[in-house]
Amino acid sequence: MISCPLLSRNSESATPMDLTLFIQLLISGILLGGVYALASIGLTLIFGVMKVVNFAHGEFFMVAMYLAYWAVQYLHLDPYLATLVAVPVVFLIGIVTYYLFIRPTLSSSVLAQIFITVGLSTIIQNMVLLFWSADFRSISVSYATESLVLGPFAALRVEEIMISPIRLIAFALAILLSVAFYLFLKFSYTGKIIRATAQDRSAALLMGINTDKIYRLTFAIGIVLVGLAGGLVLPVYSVQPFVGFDFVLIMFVVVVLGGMGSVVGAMISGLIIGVVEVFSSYWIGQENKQIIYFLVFIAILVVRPSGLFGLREEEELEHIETID
Amino acid sequence: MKKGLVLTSVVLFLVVLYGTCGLVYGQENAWRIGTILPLTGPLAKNGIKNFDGVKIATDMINDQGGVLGKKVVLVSADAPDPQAAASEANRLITNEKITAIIGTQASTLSMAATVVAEKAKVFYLENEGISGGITSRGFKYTFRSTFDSDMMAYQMIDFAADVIAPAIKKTDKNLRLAIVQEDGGFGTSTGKGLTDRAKARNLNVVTTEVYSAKSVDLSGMVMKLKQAKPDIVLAAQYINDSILFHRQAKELKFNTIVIGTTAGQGNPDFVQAFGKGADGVMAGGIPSEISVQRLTAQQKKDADEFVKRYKDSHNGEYPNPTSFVGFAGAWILYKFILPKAGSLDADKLREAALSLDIPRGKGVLNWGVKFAKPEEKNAGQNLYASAGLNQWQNGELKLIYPKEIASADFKLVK
Amino acid sequence: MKPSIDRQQSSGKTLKAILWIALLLLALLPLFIKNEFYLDALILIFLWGAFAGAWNILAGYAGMMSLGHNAFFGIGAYTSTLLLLHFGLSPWIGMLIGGLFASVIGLILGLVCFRLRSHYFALATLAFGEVGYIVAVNLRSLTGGSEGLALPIQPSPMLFSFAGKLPYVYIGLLFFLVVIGISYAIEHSRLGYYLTAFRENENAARALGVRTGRVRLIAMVLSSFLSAIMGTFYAQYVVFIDPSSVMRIQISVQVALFAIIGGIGTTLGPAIGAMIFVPITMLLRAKMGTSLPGLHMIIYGVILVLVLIYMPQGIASKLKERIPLLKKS
Repeated sequence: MISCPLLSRNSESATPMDLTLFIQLLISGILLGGVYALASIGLTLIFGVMKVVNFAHGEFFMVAMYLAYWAVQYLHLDPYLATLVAVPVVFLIGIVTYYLFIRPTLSSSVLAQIFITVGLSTIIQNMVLLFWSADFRSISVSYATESLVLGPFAALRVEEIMISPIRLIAFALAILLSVAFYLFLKFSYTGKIIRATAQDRSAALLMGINTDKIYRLTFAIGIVLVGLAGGLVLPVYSVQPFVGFDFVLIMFVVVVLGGMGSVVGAMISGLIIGVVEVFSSYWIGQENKQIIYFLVFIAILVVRPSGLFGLREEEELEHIETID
Repeated sequence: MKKGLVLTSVVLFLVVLYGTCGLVYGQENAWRIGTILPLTGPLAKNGIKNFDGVKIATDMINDQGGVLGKKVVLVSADAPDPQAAASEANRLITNEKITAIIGTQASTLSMAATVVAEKAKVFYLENEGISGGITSRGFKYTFRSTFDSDMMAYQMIDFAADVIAPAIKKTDKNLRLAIVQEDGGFGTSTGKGLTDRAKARNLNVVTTEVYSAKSVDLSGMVMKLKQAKPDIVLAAQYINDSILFHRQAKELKFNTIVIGTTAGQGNPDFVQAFGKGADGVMAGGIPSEISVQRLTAQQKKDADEFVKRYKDSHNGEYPNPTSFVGFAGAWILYKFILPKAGSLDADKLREAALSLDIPRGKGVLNWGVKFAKPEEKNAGQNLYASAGLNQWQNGELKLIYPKEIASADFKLVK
Repeated sequence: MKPSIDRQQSSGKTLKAILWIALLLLALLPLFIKNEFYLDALILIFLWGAFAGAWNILAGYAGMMSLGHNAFFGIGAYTSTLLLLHFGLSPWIGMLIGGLFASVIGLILGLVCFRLRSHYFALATLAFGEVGYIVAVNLRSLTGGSEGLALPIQPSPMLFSFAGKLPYVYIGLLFFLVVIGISYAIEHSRLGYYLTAFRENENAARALGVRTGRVRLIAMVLSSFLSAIMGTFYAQYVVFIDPSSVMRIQISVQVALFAIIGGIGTTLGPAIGAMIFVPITMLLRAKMGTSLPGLHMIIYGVILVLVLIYMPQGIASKLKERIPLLKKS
């Protein structure tokens, strides 16, 4: 009998999954996934339009959380309002970042692009450490403290299902914002321009689109989206200088699963990843769940690199099936 | 080529030279003691708090006239990771001519730095790292002022089985325990101690959950624990993840008795986050109340002084357990070891340390000072550094165990 | 025409002579340094320089940007250490076993992921590196988890353990030179030309019959083997390993940084990067670590960004540009 420490469950009995448990885990997963979705849309957008993989994406998530935190502490705002207040600042940060770090490298090698955002990530993390210290900062929301309870539904033999109120709010707002953004992208004039630029840059240029302006706008929007996600989760867990790095890995998994460049893909795969994560942590243990999504990640990259909804054609990928 | 290479090497040489010189302070008449702590990097949060404790101890002793009439000057080093810890230890010893070091907050950093100190025969006092490995390598010059993970973990298990179990009408046979540990050095060391002790006492551990302290969601783990129906959960967590855990447990209606640690549930931030909700939660580790009758008047004064100075420099915040233990290590060095040694010569410090036999309650906090002898398995460990069990009662952290120094009784909170 | 060729040739000879003398001096220098701080710095320069050089073989010459090389480094460190602790096997041998193990893993990684381009490959290796870290943390019974593994400190040359720092300096120098030598050999060999062809224009290369898959796998095997060797060297020098010191992703980023700033795809680039940055790190940490936490990291990040924007070929290339003589080397 092979003992596999990574996969064996170390509890005394394998409790069969009853419907209540299943629904509970599913709901927890979906709530989690909604935030992943919103956070990742910006990342996939930036890649879709500018072909830049923003390794520093998580840091903007973190910075926005700090800004919302300060707004709550000093302006005594409600956390969700504080997030809104932080948006213009985050937008500006996005613009500045674009000019200083992204624009100079648009025509550089992939190496340069990757490592510039890596360098940017290091700079932001440590500036925050320097100015705001390593302390964890958290806030609580005074109103949403009691869990929402669904059920029990005796007919279905389902007992109580608990829903965390703050996660529910974060989820609801995240989905709202994601959908709003999607509609913006699909139906508004600017949205169409952005999509055109993403599809074919040369053609867009020929059509008189100022691609530089579009890139700038897109980048800033991408940053704002992840910043909003950050603000929404501030009441859920705390912020510290390195929270962005931990989050960014998940965001990459979501984006790759959904297809780099696909906003819909990011939304759907965000939810999928959230659910997979919660179920994995139940079945194979919280410590091992990360392996699951990294393996999923590698598997997707290898089997279907364009992800579920990938827009990009296979120019990014080799077609050579055999190693010659 | 010549120009380029020569220029580069000259610049390099100057840079290195500059970096290593001019760091000698003009105080020949002071005790120069090195510190190695993580002030940057992922461990910085606690490293800085530990450093605060050491600094306050240093200020206090200097205000009291120093040690044997000479002031103490700290020569500090930042060690964000183990390799840096080793390099910085090397630098302190080589360039700064340090012969006594206090460090390191995290066990992994300590393991690397103490190797360098041992090879160079430099006295090293570990003030917070609890991994058993630090004092089980047979090192002659490494000492630990605080308890180790086994001492704390064993006490937690014993308390669960001997005090709580009867209170909930359970025996060793039908008591259901669950262990929750974060996957870093602290959680791993403590978890190991918990598991070992439970095994030795034949207690039933229904599940052991390991997780990353950086997790943003613990709902899967909470559900798993809920399904396992433990009577008591023993948790080795940091403050942040313990808050997340308790919050999600509450949201998912997972109610159970929790014994955490002072690194997590015992941290003042915990009661900040939960208010009345924190009542009943226990935390093993650093004994919370240091104003107990067993202390001498001077020690009580010193302890209160520490709290006051900490509050003054931290916006009225009550000291973090990490700061307490950082303070305690430095205080033991300043009050007991150094005066007895009379010099910073590593061998004299070592002899002095080994000769100390200060009973519990007469040292610092409610500890004594007696280091395990070189022949013993855990040479250098302060055997009189007792862990204690604390419990939040009415918004205050009370010491409830061991009975002899407890300031309150255990309260069963449903 | 003729005079300039002569001049180049004789300058080439002068160059070689100077390099050999410099090398000799360098080799003898440590004997005169008593200050252990400098010795420590040298050892770290050689350690990270060699590791950066190993990374460079895959990323610089083969053009495959790996962010997961920490896994190979860690595999080397853990393999030799576990073999030492459990079987008393000398790390000299354990090192080779670790290298072999890493090469096999690298081979598999290459077979699976080489079909991916640029960003995707980088992300895949990032995931791979993270998995390495997670495995090291979770397999507690094997690796000790986050508590780490302590190595014996009794000096024993047969077991790759020395009392003083000097032996480590020379062993480190040896590894350092080996990696540089291998890089040089690759650059001037057919393998090197194939890799360059792939890097410059892979479709053309393939059309010309270059077996791009195979040559890259060779580069990967070399790269992972050498990285693992340096992992063992680290373990033997610091005498303590844990996931945060040998398996973190940041390690990969760090060596990539050295190689890029020094000059990616060049023989001496990684070495230069290490020679500049290791002392600077130690200096900044010594001076400012305690008062301004994180400042040296900010400076790194800024330098990295500036170099990438203004000098993407790195310092070695800038030197080569300025000094035509170097182009021959």
